Amino acid sequence: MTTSLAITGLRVELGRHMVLHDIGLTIADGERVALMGASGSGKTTLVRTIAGLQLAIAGTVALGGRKVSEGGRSLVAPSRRRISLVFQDLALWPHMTAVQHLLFVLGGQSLSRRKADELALAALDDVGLGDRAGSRPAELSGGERQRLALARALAPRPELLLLDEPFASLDLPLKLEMTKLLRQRQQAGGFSMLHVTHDPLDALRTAPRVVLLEDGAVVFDGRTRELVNEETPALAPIRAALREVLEVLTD
Amino acid sequence: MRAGHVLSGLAAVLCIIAPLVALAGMQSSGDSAEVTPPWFVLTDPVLRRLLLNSAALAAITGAIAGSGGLGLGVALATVRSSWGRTGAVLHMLPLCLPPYLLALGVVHGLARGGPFDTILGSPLRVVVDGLFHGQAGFVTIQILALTPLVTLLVLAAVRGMDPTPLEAAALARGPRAAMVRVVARQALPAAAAGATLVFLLTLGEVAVPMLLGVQTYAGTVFARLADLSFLPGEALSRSLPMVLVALAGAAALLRLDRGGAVLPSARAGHGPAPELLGRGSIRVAALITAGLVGVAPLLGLVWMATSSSDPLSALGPALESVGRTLLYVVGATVPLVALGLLGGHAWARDPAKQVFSAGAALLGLALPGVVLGIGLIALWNRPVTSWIYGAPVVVVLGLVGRYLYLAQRAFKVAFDAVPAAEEEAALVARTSVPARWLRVTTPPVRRATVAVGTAVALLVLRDLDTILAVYPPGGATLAVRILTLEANAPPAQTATLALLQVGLSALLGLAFLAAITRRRTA
Repeated sequence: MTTSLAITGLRVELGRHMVLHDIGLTIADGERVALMGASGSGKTTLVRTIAGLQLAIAGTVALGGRKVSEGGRSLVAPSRRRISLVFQDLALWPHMTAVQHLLFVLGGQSLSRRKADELALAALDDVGLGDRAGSRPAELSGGERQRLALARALAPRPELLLLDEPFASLDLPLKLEMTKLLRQRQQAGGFSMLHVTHDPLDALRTAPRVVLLEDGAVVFDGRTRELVNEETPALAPIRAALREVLEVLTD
Repeated sequence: MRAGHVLSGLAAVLCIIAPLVALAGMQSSGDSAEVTPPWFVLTDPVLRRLLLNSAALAAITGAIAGSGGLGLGVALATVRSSWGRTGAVLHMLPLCLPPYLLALGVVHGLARGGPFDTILGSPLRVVVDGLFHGQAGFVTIQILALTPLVTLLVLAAVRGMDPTPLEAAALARGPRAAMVRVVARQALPAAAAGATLVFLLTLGEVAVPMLLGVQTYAGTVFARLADLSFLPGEALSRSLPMVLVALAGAAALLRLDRGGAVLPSARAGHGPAPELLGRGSIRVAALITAGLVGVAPLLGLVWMATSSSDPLSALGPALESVGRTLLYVVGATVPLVALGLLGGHAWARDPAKQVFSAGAALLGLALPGVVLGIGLIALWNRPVTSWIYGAPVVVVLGLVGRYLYLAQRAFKVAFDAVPAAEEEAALVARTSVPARWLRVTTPPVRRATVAVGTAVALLVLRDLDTILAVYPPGGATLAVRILTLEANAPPAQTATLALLQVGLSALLGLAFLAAITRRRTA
């Protein structure tokens, strides 16, 4: 199996504070991974560094076998990394309609106008927003905005999809609907996925593998169910939460 | 209703609404023998053509300054180069000066024998003469003087943007598309508002067209107040179309600023990270070029001042006007800051009740200074109020009317960034009103108070049109003195005084910069 993401020896500083220490992480093609950890553990920084929105001071990041950053240098611009990111606050463009969002991200692919229109409308249809193509973000409901953010991320057919806690503020029914939609789209598209979350339910529903960060270092990397049985004291809170969710799901 | 609503409303009535009502009252009652009906302007083909021509020149100026300011504002907000920032500071300098001083520098710098004239030689002289004289010269000077206003508004808008939509765009399409399709597009309302302000300020400009020999509509209104053709009634009639244009301009500004698109709350965001948008060498070059173009007229003034063997001889007699200028600056800045603080706080905490006061204050800003001045004359030039009309207080009333909106708006932005809960906590702890204001409400906006104070002082220092219409006999400010000296004194003396004004403005400008860029210590 080929590698979608390979990170070695990654160190990131924000201001004078070392946020990530010597991170190593690989994700295989088509693999789904949940990235968990407490607030301030460095999850968002890791995702932003992979995307190229944040520069590391040491280490390498490779995407699809190609180095995109090394040491303190970015070798490939964020827009050329063939990744997509769903932001925590969604980061929709307030002045664009739903279909304009998709046309904008598809604009870099040298498509004819007609083809781009077709793809944009199809992408909206895929997430159930076919009838809201002309609406701006302010005219959409919370769930519709989530779907638009997901459609925008998926439209350019990324090799790796990064999700930075986009479902954190959703109520449970909507969260279940979105994680289901995400799984469906991932199975259809076959892309790899790194899903940042602090919610064990999200982790269990979207990824069979969990990476746990604590104070900027990886403290666990394995199957979700292995984490439940892991006896390290530092993992007690997350383990308890996972067990509780598993019990509820089993009931 | 808060005291801020009441006091700022009263100030707006006293300084803006009452003068306009007095102006309209004189129109309808025919108080003055030479009052002509306002529709006279529309039926007289010469005046109609002049009004349309002036509006067209102002529109061209607004459009060019709007698009230039949009580019420069986005550039300034998205580069992290000290060269770029230095260029931006130089680009801002003309905004701190009466445009008339720039015209003076350009005219004398480019006049036969001036430095640029000597360097350029005859073939280019014809082109330059065309660009800097007549109507083209008027438009060029106004663009030079007022584009920084658009730059500032766009800068504030971009700095207030949430950075994540930009990151999303940069990730999807790269820096250039992100800058054009997301940053510049979202800053459009700010640029349009800036262009509208530039249009209104150019339409009301009196001094620059006078120097360049361009006939404008505002010029003919002002001419009716001049000694030789003193016809205040006709000035009243002719000013009414400009009141209508100001009303339309104020309405356009309100519409553009819906949702705080023009001056966003400081809480809204912290703007895009410059490193995401590439090295930006073109943006830095644009800022440096704008800075050099901005200070070029000042070189003309320096040349002019040093062409005499004794340029400093003008300073002695001018000291009196400098003292008076500083008196007006302090006299107008103190009430403007106080009213801005109270009105801005009331506006931030209870916006619905500030609609009248803010709307009236915006009209005061949109009105040409000379028209506001004529309104003040109509209101106060009566036997019982001659103690106001003949004293500096009438100038202060005019300046408060002109700049009240900016002071209130700036404080509103500052108070928007402070959670109301901080004051509510003090309120439920039963603290007295003065204690609450001194210990809780004002400390978070201390830096903003210094910034607003210096900005307002700068505006008062650069004002020429409002003061020109109402200053009492013997009460000329430095800017007015430079204007009146231009025709009668040796050019070197005029230029020396102009450079003195530049120096005073630069000092205040630096104080303003220090206030807005100083690192937070708490």
